[in-house]
Amino acid sequence: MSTSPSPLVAVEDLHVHFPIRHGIIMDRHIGDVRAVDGVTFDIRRGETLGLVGESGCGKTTAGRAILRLVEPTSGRIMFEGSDIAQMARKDLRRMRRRMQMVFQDPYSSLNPRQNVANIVAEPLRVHGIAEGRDAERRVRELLAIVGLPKDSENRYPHEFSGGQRQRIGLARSLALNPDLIVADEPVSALDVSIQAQIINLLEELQSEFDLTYLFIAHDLAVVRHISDRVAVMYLGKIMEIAPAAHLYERPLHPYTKALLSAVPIPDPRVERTRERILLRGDLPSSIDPPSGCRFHTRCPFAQKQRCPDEIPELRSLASGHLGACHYAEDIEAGRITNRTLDLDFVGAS
Amino acid sequence: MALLSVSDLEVKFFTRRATVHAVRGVSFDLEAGETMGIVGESGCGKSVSSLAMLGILPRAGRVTDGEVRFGDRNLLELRDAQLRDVRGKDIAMIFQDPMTSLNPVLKIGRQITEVLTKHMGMDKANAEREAIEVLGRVGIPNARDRVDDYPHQFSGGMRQRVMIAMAIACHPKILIADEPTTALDVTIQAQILDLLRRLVEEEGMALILITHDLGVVAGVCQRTNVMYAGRFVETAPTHELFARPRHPYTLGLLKSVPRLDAARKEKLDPIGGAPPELTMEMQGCSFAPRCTYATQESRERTPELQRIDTKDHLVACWNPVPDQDLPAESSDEWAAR
Repeated sequence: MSTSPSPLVAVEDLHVHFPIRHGIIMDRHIGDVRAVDGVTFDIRRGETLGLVGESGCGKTTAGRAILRLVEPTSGRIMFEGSDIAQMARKDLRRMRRRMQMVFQDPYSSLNPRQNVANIVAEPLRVHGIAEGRDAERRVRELLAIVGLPKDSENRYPHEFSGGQRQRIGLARSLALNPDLIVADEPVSALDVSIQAQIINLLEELQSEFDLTYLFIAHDLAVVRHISDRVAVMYLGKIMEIAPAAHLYERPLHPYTKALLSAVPIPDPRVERTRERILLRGDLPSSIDPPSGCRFHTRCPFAQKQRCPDEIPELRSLASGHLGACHYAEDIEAGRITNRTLDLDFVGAS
Repeated sequence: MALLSVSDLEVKFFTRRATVHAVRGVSFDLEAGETMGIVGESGCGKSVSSLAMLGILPRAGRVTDGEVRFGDRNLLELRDAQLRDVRGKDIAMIFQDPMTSLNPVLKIGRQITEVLTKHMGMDKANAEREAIEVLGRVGIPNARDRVDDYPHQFSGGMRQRVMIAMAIACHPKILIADEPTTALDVTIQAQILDLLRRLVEEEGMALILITHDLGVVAGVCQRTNVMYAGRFVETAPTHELFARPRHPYTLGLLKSVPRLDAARKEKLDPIGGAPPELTMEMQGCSFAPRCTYATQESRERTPELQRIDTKDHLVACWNPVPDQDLPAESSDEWAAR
């Protein structure tokens, strides 16, 4: 799908379904939550790929599947040519050194009974890389890198603020010199004045250590700032993927347009005059997603032809810009227009 | 005369370990039909102030000073029964998480009729008719059938609509919305903000919107107050506040958030350090330790809100942000979209 020579990670037709079981005596399989349902994308070496979407769209599951923290149902996850989805446990363990995760909640992702030195040294121990003096030295180095004070080593997570805890999580993820970091909502639990500190740190670390990021978040402004390319997910599928500047300045998929128009902008002049595309109703269930284009039930541009019964493929709409919409060109050219919504019925589905 | 007039409100929390001085002297007037925002980060006292006004502080909290004048009464002096008449009828409140604010074992119709029979003296049949009407007004489809559903049968956005229906059922003069969209997805947030804007206009009620999101106030509020460490540090008409933020904290907030409509910057400008512990007595300006404009005076004397620029722009700062440091005008390209 990409023309770039060798992506670090190439995800091909990834599916992650969670079975729904029912019954105590007869354990029946009555359906699936299709969290990720046929997703293809590359992560290029050294880039930040932003993965955005609303809750339940599958962005977190996709990120976890790449590290095989959840088992993919089908599809391939090529990490430098080897398929993580098929890898044996032993090989997977070795591979995991090269890919780390940073979590949203800096409170629950750090063991409250371990001091900071132990938390950061744990990956070194687990992978048998350093022990004793060596480990201590490495921990001190890592804490300095993420900007934590020297006396942090012997303190416990509860003694730190949210921003500092996120720094501890980052130090831990850097311990093994990974190539890829999957960061799942790394700043959304933080106050705005602290968010900026962590975002800057993430960017500094990336250029210093040649890191590749998959940055999963719902905050579209943060994603624009940090990402080179952005993929937009809706109900388990990718709707659009493009270089960040393209996606934000010229979104081609109706869902991306609606999503961007819904984000409040901290400027009353802009807020007063901009056009909003309000979507009807709520997100449909990913147990029984809509037929055809998954977005057609809420899409203000949906047509009677094709949208309800033909699944749109992710296809090239402009250079490096892919979208999954049957009518993207017609919408862009103004041949199909946004149905004006009767505001009283915006809530109706 | 203002519809609601708050002066020198102080709230403390008394716990075994420490006394937390959460609200340290908040004063403002709210006019009928006005939309007012209170912005600040977690722990700045923005929610506690409104809980204190309505007498619904958690047990450890006490109002230690101040006055909340509504009409000819001081709400802080009312007995519980009197306050219950005001709450829900004249002043209604909605919260961040509708699931914990709705009773999970009562049908939602019943939760709305309860308000109507209690405050408006309606009989059951009238209350039921009115409940369906108000649910329709907040955009609940098939309201007639949905009154028999329980809260868990609604999505997050629909639950927040139910909360809003309960709040506006008695046509309150003031609606206090505490982070009403923080738990919602962005497309649902847009629906709810749109609904609030429309209801404020239709009902002519005043709105106090409490949020951490500068974008939300920018789109909804006529007037914005910025709160830091228990005090209002700046208050101005919203367009004025965003165009000419005079408090270094306000400027810092605006500069630290990446904007959807701005091309990628090399680096964000975070505010250094962290907010102060509210267990401490503070000397001088509470923002001084994080402020690049702070002087000796800032560290010694606490600044009061004072007029700057125009008559309704107030700032509590000894060294307000000078003109040359104000943010550049935003691009008009986005305004047109």
